Amino acid sequence: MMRTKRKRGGIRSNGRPPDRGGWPRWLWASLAILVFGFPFYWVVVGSLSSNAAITTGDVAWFPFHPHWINYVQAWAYTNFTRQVLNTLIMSLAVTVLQVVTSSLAGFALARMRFPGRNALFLGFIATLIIPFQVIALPIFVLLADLHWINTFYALIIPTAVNAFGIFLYRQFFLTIPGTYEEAAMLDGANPWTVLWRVFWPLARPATVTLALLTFIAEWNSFYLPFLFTQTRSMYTVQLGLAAFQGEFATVYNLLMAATVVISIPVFTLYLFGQRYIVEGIANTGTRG
Amino acid sequence: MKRMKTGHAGQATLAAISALALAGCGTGAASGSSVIHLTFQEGIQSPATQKYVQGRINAFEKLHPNIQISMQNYGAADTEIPKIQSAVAAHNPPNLLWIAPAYTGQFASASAIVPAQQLFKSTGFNSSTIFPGLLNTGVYHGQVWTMPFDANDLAVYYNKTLFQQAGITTAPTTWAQFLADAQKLTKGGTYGFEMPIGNQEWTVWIWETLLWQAGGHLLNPSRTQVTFNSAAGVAALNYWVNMMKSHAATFGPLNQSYQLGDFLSGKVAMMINGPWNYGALKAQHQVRYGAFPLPKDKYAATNIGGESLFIFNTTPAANQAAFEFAKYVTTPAFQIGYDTGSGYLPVSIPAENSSAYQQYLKSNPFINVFAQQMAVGRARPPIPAYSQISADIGNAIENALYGRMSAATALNQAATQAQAALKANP
Amino acid sequence: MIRLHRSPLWLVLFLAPAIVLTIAFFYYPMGYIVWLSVHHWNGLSPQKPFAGMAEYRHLFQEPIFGLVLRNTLEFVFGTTIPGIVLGLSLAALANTRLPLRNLLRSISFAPYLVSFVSAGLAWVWLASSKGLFNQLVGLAGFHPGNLLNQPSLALPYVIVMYVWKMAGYNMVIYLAGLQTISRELYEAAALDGLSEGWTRFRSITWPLLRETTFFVVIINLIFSFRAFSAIYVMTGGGPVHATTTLVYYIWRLAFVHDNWGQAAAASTLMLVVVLIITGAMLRMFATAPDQKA
Repeated sequence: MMRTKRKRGGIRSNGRPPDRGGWPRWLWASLAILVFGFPFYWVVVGSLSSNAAITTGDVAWFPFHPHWINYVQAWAYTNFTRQVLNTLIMSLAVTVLQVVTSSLAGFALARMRFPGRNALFLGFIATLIIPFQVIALPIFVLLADLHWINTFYALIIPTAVNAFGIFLYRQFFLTIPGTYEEAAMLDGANPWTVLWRVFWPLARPATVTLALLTFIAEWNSFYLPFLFTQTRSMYTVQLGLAAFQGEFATVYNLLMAATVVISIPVFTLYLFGQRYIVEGIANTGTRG
Repeated sequence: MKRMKTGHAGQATLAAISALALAGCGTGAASGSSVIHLTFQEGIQSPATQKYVQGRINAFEKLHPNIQISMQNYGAADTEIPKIQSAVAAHNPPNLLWIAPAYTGQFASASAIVPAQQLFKSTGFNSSTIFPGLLNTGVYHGQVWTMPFDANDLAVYYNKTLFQQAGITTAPTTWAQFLADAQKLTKGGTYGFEMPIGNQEWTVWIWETLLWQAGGHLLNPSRTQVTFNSAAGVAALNYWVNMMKSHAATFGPLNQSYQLGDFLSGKVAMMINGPWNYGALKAQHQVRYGAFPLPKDKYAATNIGGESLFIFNTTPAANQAAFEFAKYVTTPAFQIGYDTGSGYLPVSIPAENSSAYQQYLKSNPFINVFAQQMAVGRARPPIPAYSQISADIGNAIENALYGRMSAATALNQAATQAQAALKANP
Repeated sequence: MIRLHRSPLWLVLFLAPAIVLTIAFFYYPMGYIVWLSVHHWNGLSPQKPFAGMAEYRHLFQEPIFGLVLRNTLEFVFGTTIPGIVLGLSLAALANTRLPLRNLLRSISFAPYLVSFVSAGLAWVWLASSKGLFNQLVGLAGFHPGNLLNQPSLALPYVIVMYVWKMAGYNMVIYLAGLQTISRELYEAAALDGLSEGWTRFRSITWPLLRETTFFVVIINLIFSFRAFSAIYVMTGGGPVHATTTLVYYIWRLAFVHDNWGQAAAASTLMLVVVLIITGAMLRMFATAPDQKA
C-alpha cells in the first residue's frame, strides 16, 4: 500500500503549493505548537513537583528540583506491574487476532470471486459507524452468559475482528497484479498457500500499519475493559489510572507521573512506526 | 520448506492465544477438591490496614485449613456499586463484599445475597456481641442479611492554626455558630468550610445528617413514603445554600469531596469527614488538625457508616465458609487491632470495652470524638430503593447549591422521583 | 482472481472467523438492543416482560432527558466543527515550506496518541482551582475557581479538551488530501488570474477536498458520539448533569439505576440518530454536484 501510494503522489510527494506568506504564518505555527505542546510539558513538570507545590499552585516553570519519588510512589500505589501485564496480554492478543482475521477476510474479498462479495464487504464496513457504546449492553449480557466477564476472553474476543483491518488488507491486495496467484495456482498451490507464501509477505506494510494502530487503540481503550472487568487483578492501565484518580483525586503530582508512565509505550511505538501510523490514518481518509 | 515454516508460525500463534485466553479463564473457579476458595472484595484505602486484614486472613486460614480467601481491592466505594451490580448481572459476584450496609435491601431483594441470620444457629454465633444499632443497619424484612465489619460516623475536621488566627477558641456547637465561625475563617483565599459537591452518595450521606438535625426523616416510619422534602429538609438544604451564598464555603472536588487535598493545603479550615483518614492525617506535616462533633440544630445527629460483609449466594459450602469469616471479623481478635490501626470504630461490644481499646481512645482524642458521637448516630434505611433515592437527593442538592432551583422545588422534584423508585422496589 | 467453484471450502475458512465474530459482536447485539428496548428488565431478573413503547415513553419523561440530548448535540457539534476547521488550518500550515512544519505536525498529532483518560486527567489538573488556567486568568484579575465545578463552564471545557485531542488527527488526513492536489493545478489557476489565499482555497482546494471532508466529518461525528472516558474522569457527568451525554446516560441507566430496558431504549435511539446522520452525510456528498470536473 505504502509503495503504491507513493507512486500516486502520497504524503511525501512534491505537490506542495508554492510557499508564500511571512510572519503571520510563523506566528500561527508557533502559537499552535505552544497550544498543542504545552500541556505535555506541563504534565511532565507536574509529575516532578512536590506535593506542597501542587497543593498551593506554586509549581515552578522548570523542575529544578525534580521529585523522582513521585514515579516510584505512583507505580507502587496503582498495582501497576499487574495492570501493564494485563494490558500487554490484551493488546498483543487483539493485535494478532485482528491481523489474522482481517488478512484472511481481506484476501477473500479481494482475490476470490463469489456471489454477494460486495454486499459482504459493505456488511463489514457498516460496522465501523456503529458506536460500541450502543451495542455494549447486549455484548455484556452475552459475555455474562458465557461466564467470560472479568476474564481475558471478554477483553480480547469482542474486538478480535475489525472492519478497518479488513478494509486495509482488501485495498492492499487489490493493488497486487493477478499474475502473482495465477503463477502459484498453476504450480498446484491452494489459496492458503497463495496467501501465506505470496500475498502475506507482500502485505507487510499493511500488517505493520494495522498492528501499530490496533495496539495503540487497545492500549488506550477504556470503555470495553471498564464494562467487562470487575476486579483490580484484571484492570488494564487505563482503568488503573482512572481508579487511581478516584482515590488520589487532587494528588496531581502522582497522577501526572502515572499519566506520563502509561503514555510512554504509545509514544515509543510512534517514534519507531511514525510513517506507518500517519500513512495508515491518512490513507483511510483519502480513500475512505 | 517455506510452507512448513509458515504453518508452524500460524500454529504457534494460535497456541499462544489460546494459552493466554486460558490463563485468563483460570481466575475465578475453585478447582481444589475440599478446599473452598473465597473471593473477598474490599475498598479499604490505607495500605497499612489492608496489610493488617491480610495478616488476619492468614491467621483465619490457619484456623480453617479448608478455606482460602483472596482479597481484591476495588478502590472507591462510590464507583463500586455499578461494578458489583454488573458482577451480579454477569453471574460473577465475589463471595464476600465489604461495602456500606445501606445497600443490603438492594441485593437482598434481588436474591443476590444470603441472609446471615440463617447461619447464626448452625454456627453457634452469638449476635448479642454486636452493637444492636449496627446489626440493625443490615436488617431487611425482619432478618439480618449483612454482617457488620467496621463502624464510623461523621464529624468536623478543623485546622487548629486557622482557628487560632481567627480567634476562635471553642468549637461551634450549633448551626448558627458554625456558619458564623465559617465566615470568620474565610479570608485571603481560605474558606471556612468545604462544601461536598456532586450527586453521589458522599454528598447525600453528609446532607442526611443535616436533615436529621433539623428534625426531618428520609422516610415515614412504615417506609412507604419519602419525606425528605419536609420543612426540615428544606431548612437543611437552605442552610447549605445560604452558606454558599455567604461565600463562607467553597465546593470540594466534584464527586470526590471526601478528598483531603484542600484541607491539607489550608484552602479550607473545616470539612466534614470520617475517622478513617486518621492515619493519613498523622502522616502529614502540613496541618495541625483536630475534630469536633457535628453542630446541632433541633437535634444532634450523625450518620452511622461503616461497612458490612455481604455474602453472595454461590454454593452452600461457600456461603457457610464466607459466614465463618464474617463471624471471625466480629471477634476482638480481629476488631481491636483493626480499629486501633485504621481509626474505624469497633462493631463488637467486647472489643469496644476491652482495656486495650479504651486506652487507645484515651490517647487518641481525635478518634474519641467519633466514638462518642455514635450515641447520636442514625443509619440510612437499608431498603432496595436506597441508592436510587440517594441519587435523586444528590440531584436535588446539586440543583439547589448551583442555584438552579430553590431548595423546596429541588427537593419536591427529587421526592416525586424517589417516591416512584420506592414504589417500584418496596 | 480465485474462482469459487475451485475453492468453496477455502472461501469458508477465510471468511468464517470475520463473519462469525462480526455477527456475534455487531449484528446480533444490534438486534438484541432493539428487542430489549421494548422489554422491561432490571439487569438481574430472569424475566423480561414485554413493555411495548413504555421504556421510550419513560425515557422522554425523565426530567433530565432533554438536557442530555442538548448536551449530546452541543458536544458532538461543538467538537466536530472546530476540530475539523482547526485540523484543516493546521494541515494548510503544515503543507507549506515553513521550517517549523515538521515540529508542528508531530506536536499537534501528539494529543491524538495519548488516551482520553490521560488527556482528561491532565486537563483536570489544568482546570483545578490551583491549576494553570486559574493562575493565567488570575494574572488578569479573574479567579473563576475550578472550571469543572461550574455548570456553565464544564461542558465547554471538556469540548476544548476534545478539540485539542482530535485536531491533529484531522490534520493528518487533510494533509494527505492536500498533498494529492498537484502544484500544476495551482499554477494553472494562477495563470487564469485567480489570486492567492482565500479565493484559491475556495475555488480549488476546498472542492478537491470534498471526499476527504466527507470522511473527516463522518469519523469525527462517530468519535464524538462515543465519548465516554474523558467525561467519566473529568466530570462524572456533572455538575448538575451539565456534561451528561447520551453515552454516559446509557451507562448510568444500566449500571447505576438497574434500568436496562430504558438503557436499551436510549441505545436504540442513539443507533437511529447515528444512522440518520451518517445516511444524511452520505446523501449530501453523493448528490452534491461533482465539482472536480
